[in-house]
Amino acid sequence: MNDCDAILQRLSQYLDNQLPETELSALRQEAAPRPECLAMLDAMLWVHRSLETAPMVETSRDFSVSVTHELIWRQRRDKILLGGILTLAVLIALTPLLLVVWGGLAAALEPGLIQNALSWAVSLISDAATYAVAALTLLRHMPQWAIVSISTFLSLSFLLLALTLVMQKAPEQLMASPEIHRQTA
Amino acid sequence: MNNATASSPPSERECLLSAQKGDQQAFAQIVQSYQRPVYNLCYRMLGNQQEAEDATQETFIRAYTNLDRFNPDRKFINWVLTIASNHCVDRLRKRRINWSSLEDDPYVEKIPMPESIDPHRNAERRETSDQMQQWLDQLSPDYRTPVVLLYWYGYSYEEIAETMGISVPAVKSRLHRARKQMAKLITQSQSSRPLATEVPIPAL
Repeated sequence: MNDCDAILQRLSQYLDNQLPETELSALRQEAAPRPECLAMLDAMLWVHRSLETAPMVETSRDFSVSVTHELIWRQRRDKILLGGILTLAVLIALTPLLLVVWGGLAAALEPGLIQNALSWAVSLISDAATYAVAALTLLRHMPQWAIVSISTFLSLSFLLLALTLVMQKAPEQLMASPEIHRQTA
Repeated sequence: MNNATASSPPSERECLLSAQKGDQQAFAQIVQSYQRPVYNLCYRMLGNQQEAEDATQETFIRAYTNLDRFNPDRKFINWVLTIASNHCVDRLRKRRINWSSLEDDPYVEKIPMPESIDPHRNAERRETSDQMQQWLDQLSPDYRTPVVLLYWYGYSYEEIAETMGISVPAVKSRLHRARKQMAKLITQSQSSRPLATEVPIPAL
């Protein structure tokens, strides 16, 4: 630390009320032989005093309305997302049950139908396995960056699709909400 | 119910308790009470009106969604200003600006300093506040936050340290560096610009 840095450091302590009032004139005397140091000292003092008297910035905007709107919109968005996830979960959970019920009914009404359905399912699984083996072979020879890129692309596509669906639905419901109109009024 | 009680506005504590239970109208009253200091902090931190408005709105939304974590025995303004300053620092960091440290800039040290500073020169030409904001914008977020909290909100060093999650000596160090950097910008401006754009530095 050079002498000027030490003087400026002490000036900061003075500004932080850690040094007595008389310290300022002593600092100015020490800095006086070097104009550049004196200029820095004066500039630091000016910064301090300007900041002390700087006014609060005013805004004419009333944030209470926009915050309330945004809160209601986000709550609805979250509800829609939650509703979508719950619906999907219920559908997934009910699928085996529906299959069993459908199987039972089909067996009762038309005995050959189950056999046909099973053979169709087996061929479907076989085809899917063939495609899976081909895809795995391809992946094995693919560089790592390509796999990462494709995975990222697919993930982002699904995410964007989901977001687009939510964003399309949510504003309509928001605008139609009588709650919003009441609060705006 | 007593008429006087019914017509008197609810206190801040009552509003906060209602808002914690999900009353958005009560929270709207809180927003109205504190929008000015929060907006000022965001503006001083971000230096841009539109961005400051966005940040102010986001600050209140974050406050509402985290209201269950707020202890009503504490000052709400301190809590919401902490949220605002953290949010503004995040925004500033996302700008990906290289906050070059003037401490390391050899050019600054080579600037020929004026022999004396005329106290009244151009004093009426320029809005000091705007100029101050421009210099404030040059500081890195870590230096800007303590300056704003100290000078506009009268925070103590301990409060700044708590808000920023750093030690008191670190607060003092950052304040010193911030003042020094701004002083360098002033002296730099004095020497590199013609008289018409010189910065007035009043008598000391």
